[in-house]
Amino acid sequence: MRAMRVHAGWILLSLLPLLILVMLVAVEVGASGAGIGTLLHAPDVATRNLAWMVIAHIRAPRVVLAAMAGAALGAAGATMQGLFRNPLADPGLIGVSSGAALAASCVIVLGVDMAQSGFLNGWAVPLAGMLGSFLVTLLLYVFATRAGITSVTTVLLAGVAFGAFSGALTGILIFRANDTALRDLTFWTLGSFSGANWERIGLLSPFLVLAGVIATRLAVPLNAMLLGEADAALMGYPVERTKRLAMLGVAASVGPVVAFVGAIGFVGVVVPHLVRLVTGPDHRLVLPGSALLGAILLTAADTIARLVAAPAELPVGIITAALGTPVFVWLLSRIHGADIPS
Amino acid sequence: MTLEIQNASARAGGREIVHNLDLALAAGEIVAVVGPNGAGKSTLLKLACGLMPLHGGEIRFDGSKIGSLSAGELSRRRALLPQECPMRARFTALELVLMGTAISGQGRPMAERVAIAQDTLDRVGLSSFMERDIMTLSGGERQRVHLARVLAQLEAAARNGAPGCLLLDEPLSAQDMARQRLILQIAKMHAAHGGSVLLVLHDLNWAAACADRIVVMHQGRIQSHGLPRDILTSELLHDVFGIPDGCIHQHCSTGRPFVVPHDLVMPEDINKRETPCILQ
Repeated sequence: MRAMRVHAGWILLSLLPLLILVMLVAVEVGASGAGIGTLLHAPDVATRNLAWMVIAHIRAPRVVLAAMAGAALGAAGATMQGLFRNPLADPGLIGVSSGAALAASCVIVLGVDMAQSGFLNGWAVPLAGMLGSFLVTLLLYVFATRAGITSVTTVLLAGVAFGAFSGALTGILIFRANDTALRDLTFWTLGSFSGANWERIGLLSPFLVLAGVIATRLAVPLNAMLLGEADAALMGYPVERTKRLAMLGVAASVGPVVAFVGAIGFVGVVVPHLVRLVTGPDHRLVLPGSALLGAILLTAADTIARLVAAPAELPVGIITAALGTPVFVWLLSRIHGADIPS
Repeated sequence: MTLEIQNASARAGGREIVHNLDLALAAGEIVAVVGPNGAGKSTLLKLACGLMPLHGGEIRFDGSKIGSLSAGELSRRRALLPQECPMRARFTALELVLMGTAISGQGRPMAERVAIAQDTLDRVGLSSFMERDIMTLSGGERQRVHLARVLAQLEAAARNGAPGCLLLDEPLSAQDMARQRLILQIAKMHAAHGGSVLLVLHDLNWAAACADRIVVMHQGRIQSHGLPRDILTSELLHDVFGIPDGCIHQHCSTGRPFVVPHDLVMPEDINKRETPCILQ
C-alpha cells in the first residue's frame, strides 16, 4: 500500500505539467481568434500588437487568476474536510463566502456610485468582499472558542446559520437592487474571471503565499486529527493551533479569491475527493494534489465558459456546478455506505 | 517514570464525577484499576493523561505538574490507549503507528522511527499486517495497531532512559484469550524496562494475575487498593460487584486469587457432573 502511495506521488507530480499544458491551451484559445501563432507569424505589426494585447493583458491574467483561485479553493476544501472530518465541508463553511457575499452585495446594491468613482474605482467590491470574509470568519472563531478551545462543530453549525442569515440579507438587497446592480450581483454570485488583471493578481499573491506556507504546517497534524482531536492531543499534536492555522489559511486564501471572482461552487467540495481516490487520506499528498487539480479544473472550466457561448461568456460557476454535480453524484454512489473522508 | 495523583477530582455536566483520588505509581510497577461500570475508571485515566481538566488536586509526572507540561512534553511522558479509537481514514497500520512517534520522537531520523514502529507492530503480533489498510482489519486487530501506536509513542521518546507511563483503558476488550495474554505480557515487559503501567480491566482474574497492585473504584471513589491477595476478597465481590460470597479461589502455584462464580450452575446440572471437581 505504501508503494501505491509513492505511485500516487508520481501521479500528483504529473499534474504539474498538465496544469502548464491546460494554461497554455487556455491562453491560446478565445473569442477573438488571436493566438500565440498570430503573435509570432502575423504579417503586420498592428495584428501582432493586437494579439499581444489580447494574450498578455486579457487572457494571460485571466488564466493565471483562474489557476490561483482553483488552487486556493481546492486546497482550502481539503483543509476544511480534514478539520471538520466531514466529507461535505467546503471553504464556505467558516463564513468566508457568506461574509464576502454579504459585504460585496452591500457595495454593489447600496454603493454603486461610490464604487464607480474616486480611488476605489473597480476595487470597492473586492475590498468589501475581503473585509467581509475576514470579519465573519473572525466572528465565528470567537463565537466558537471558549477557554482557548475551539469547537469545530460550533464553527460548522454557526457557519451554516450565518450562511442562511446572510442569504436573507442578500435577498433583501436583491429586492432593493436596480437592473445594473442586479446584473452585477448575478455575475458575482455565480463567479467570473472577467475582471482579471495583473494588479489583482499582485494583490492576491501574498495572501496565497501565506496560505501555502500555512498549509505546509497543517498536513501532518491534520492526518493525526483524523483519529479525533483527543487522540491527536494525546500524541502531542498542537490541536488548537492547527484549528486556528487552518481557519486563518482558508480565510487568507479563499476570502480574497471569493472577493475577486465571486462564489464559485463545487471545486472545494469535489476536488479533494477526486484526489483522495488516488492518494488516500494523507494530507501531505491531498493538500498539494487538491491545489494542483483545483487549478487545472478551474482553468479548464473558465476556458469552456469563455468558448461555449462566444463571444458572450457564461459565469464560470455554472460550468463548475454543471460538471461538478454529476461527478459528485458518481462519487456518492461509489462511496455509498463507506466511512469518509477516506 | 513515576505518576502521582493527589486528591484529584473532576466534574462533568455540572456535578463531580470522581472525588479525592489518591494514587502513586512507581517506575516498573503495574497497577490495575477495577470496578463496576460507571465507577470512574476511565475518568481516572483521562485525568492522569491530561485529557480532562482537574477540578481539584494535582497530578505529577516525575515531579512535574501536569499543567506545566506542554502537549509535546506530555506526549513523551505518557501515552493512553483509549477504549475506542474511531479512525475513519484508510491509513496503513505502519502509517498509523508512525503518527504516534512524530511528536514524541521529534529529532529522531525517520529510519529510526520506522524501526520502532515495525518493532512494536511485531510485538503486538501484526508484523504481516504493516502495509494493510486499517479499515480492512478486525476490531481486535485494529485495537492492537493502536496499542502498537501508543507503545511506539513512548519508545520514540525514551533515549537511553526508562519509557514513560502507559495508560491502557480496557486493552483486552476486543481480544481473544491468547491475545489478552500477549497484551498483558507486553505490559509486563514495559514495566520490566522501567516504565509504569496503569490499566483498567474488567476481568478480575487477569488483574490479579498480572498487576502488582489493584485499585478498586466504586461510585467515583477509590474504595481500596493493595496487593491482589488482599484486595480480591469475597467481601469486595459482594459489596462492589454484587456477586455472592464463596467464589474466590487461590492458584496453587502463584498463590494469586482468582474468581469463579459458580452460582450459574443449576442444582440439576450438578448431578450430571462427569469430571471430578478441581476447585478446592
